[in-house]
Amino acid sequence: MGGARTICEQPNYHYEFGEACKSPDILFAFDFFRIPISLYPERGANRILISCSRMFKRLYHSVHSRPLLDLAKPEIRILSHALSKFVPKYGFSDRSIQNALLDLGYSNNGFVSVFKMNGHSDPVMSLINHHLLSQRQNLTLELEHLSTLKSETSKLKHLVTKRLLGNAPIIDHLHEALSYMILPSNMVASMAELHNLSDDISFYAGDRSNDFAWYSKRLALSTVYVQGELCMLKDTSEGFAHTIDFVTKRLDEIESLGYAYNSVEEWGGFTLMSTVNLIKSQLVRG
Amino acid sequence: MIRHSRNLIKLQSVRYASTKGKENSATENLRLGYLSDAQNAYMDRVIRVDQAGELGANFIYNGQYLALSHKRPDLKPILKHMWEQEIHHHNTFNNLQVERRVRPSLLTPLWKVGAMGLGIATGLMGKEAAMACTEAVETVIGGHYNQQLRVLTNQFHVDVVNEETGVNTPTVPEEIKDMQKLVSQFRDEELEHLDTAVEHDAHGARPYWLLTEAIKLTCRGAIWTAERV
Ligand SMILES: [Fe+2]
Ligand SMILES: [Fe+2]
Repeated sequence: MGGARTICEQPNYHYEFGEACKSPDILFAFDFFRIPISLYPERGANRILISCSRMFKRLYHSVHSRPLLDLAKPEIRILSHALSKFVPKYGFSDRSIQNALLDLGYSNNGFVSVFKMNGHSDPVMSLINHHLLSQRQNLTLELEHLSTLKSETSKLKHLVTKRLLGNAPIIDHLHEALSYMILPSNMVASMAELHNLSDDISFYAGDRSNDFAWYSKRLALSTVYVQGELCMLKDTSEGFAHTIDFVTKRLDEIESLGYAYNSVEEWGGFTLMSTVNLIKSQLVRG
Repeated sequence: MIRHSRNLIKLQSVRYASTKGKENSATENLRLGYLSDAQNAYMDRVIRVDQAGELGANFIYNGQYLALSHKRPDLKPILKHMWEQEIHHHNTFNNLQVERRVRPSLLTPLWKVGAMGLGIATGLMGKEAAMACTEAVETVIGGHYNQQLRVLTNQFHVDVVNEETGVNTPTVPEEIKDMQKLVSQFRDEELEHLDTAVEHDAHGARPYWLLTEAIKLTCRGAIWTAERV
């Protein structure tokens, strides 16, 4: 690992980040993602704003909402089984799913029929996604404890910590999962799920913002969370104490900055590039 | 949050009741369907655009009040009454946006500046122009609410299946019925504002046609944008 510094050791990290946000040409982000520019036919700000808001696609939550994971579906049960029993050993791979199938008494043909038929064209991504969804669902178990905490920031700290610790069983495979998530074909879905996570966390923590702060908070939170995950990759401390300490400090900083991302341009630049940029650079260093 | 966990409790009790014995079977054995993706997407837009619209209305009256209150103290109570109703509308949609977890319009800062500017500008032009502005805005908003009401009434049935007989009686869920009541109440209040504006010489504004049509066009453009961005 030589001289590589992990993200949590960089004291000025978020200043670098601020610089990146100020870039006048957001489009280089597309280049960065290796997305063909032709997918973005207009260079106009409007187009960028619309694509930004799609990333935040978060539909109306009915009083009577569908559960996040429907355990009645066979493929969800298979993924759950694979995740809890085989992923820690074999990682996010076809092998884990095949083992789960055999374990649950399905034939190997089931692998093809269950996954290809249900629109899961990529079993590995399905498995990663299942990890993300079930971890996000687990946050609802914290609601009772949250009601004992007073400030929004203390609730945020609790939720972010819980969510990060949810990665502990698969920590040896987190690196591969992150690399997979930022492949161009998976990136939009991964970013959307990251924002779903920060939206859930903000909501459970009692966020009531009605204006631009709604975006700033969720973005700040997504950043801290991703920084936390990257920190975790190299954290050898007992119970990831180092990571927890890091995210706690970052959340305090954000509170004292009063959610500093406040202009539309900053936000647009931020969303499209920073997170993926961050993950890529850190993974390469590792 | 509190509201959310209360809803969870309500849901659990529904499920519990449905697995229970027969004594309450008339209402308890019904399995309630979910809103479809399209219905959720529609509600999402409704709340976002109405929140932005009421924010705009709130700021327009704010601007008019600032511009007119010392020049025309006689208008203060009328403006104040309408402004307070707009504040109530705005707060109601703010709460819905938080509780139903809808993304607010990204252009919120722009709506604030634009609406305040429109209110101040028409207020400075005088009473008639301010009232013509109200008339134009309320015409568009009233029509918009009516259109929402039509969709909420006609296209929001979800499956309600009786688990014993298997009979499906599509019904409009309670939360949608509440929304219908809210929208129709607000629509009526907007149309009252429109009448008030006409009673107070909105038609005396010069150039009336240009002013009202320009404002209507702006409002429609803003609605289109706020639904999406
Ligand atoms: Fe209103
Ligand atoms: Fe009104």
